[in-house]
Amino acid sequence: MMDRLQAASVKYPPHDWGALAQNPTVEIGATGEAWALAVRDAWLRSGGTEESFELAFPAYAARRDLSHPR
Amino acid sequence: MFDDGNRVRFTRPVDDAARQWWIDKFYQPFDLTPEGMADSLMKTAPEPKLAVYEFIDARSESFSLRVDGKLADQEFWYAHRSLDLRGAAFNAEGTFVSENAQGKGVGTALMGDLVDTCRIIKAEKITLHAERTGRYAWAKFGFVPDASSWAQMKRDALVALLSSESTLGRDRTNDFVRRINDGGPEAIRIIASIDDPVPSRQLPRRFEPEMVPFARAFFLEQTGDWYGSLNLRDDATMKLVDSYRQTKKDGDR
Repeated sequence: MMDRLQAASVKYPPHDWGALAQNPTVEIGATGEAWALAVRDAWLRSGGTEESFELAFPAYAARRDLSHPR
Repeated sequence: MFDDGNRVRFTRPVDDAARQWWIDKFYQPFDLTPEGMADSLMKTAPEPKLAVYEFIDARSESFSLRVDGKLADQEFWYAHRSLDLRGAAFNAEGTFVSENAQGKGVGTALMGDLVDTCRIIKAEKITLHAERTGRYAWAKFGFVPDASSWAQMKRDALVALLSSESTLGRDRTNDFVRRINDGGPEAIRIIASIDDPVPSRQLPRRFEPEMVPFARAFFLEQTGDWYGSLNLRDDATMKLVDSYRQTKKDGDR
């Protein structure tokens, strides 16, 4: 059954992932400290707090430099 | 300087007014000929490449060109660039990289070249139409949507967030909704940072949906193309761009 399924010609619908379809988690664009700071800045500008930012993005908040007050 | 050559061509003859405008604005202050401008705009792209100026217009203080380049294994790219000097804005109208050459940093390197050229000639912003994978990638490069695109993107994001509440958790979902609802276009960076895995609606898999980061599912599957800009006078944005480009350079070494 599995062999037949795998051998069958399957037509997938079109998608917008382009080359990313091969690796949907590959890193793109800015990462690291600069990106984390930009996200934190957007968060605070939209009325969020440091505490809620840390809960929303614990990985970014864990970065040492982000713990400094603005 | 304004005649066809091996690496630069002109679709229309450049009239006297346009020649003088170019000399005043680019050649005398920055030593940039039309060929030099094209070289600067695509400096990281390997040869061969050919620039074709569609127009140079003194009255509107603008020009437009397309550069085509070849890569190894018959892959290729092309990029349109136009400058509106009155608006101090470069428009990156379209950058296309053939599919097998995508994901290797060609498009973002070309954008980096454009950023450098803007710094030379003191242009203040770059505008573009983010389409296909660029909907996500340009957000991660520092671009933010214009007001109209942000209004639509915000609506789409609220629906997507509420649909993913079981994955994100109620408290985080509510926080994301509030921040995006209250935030300006720079809140695109909040959306682009939500990496919790959610099922893809589009990626081809036979038995179970592919789990992908929320942000990518959102930009590639749940919202549309958007118009936006990169503000070259904003320090935070430029730090973002410089940091990303430095990371790429370190990675290439």
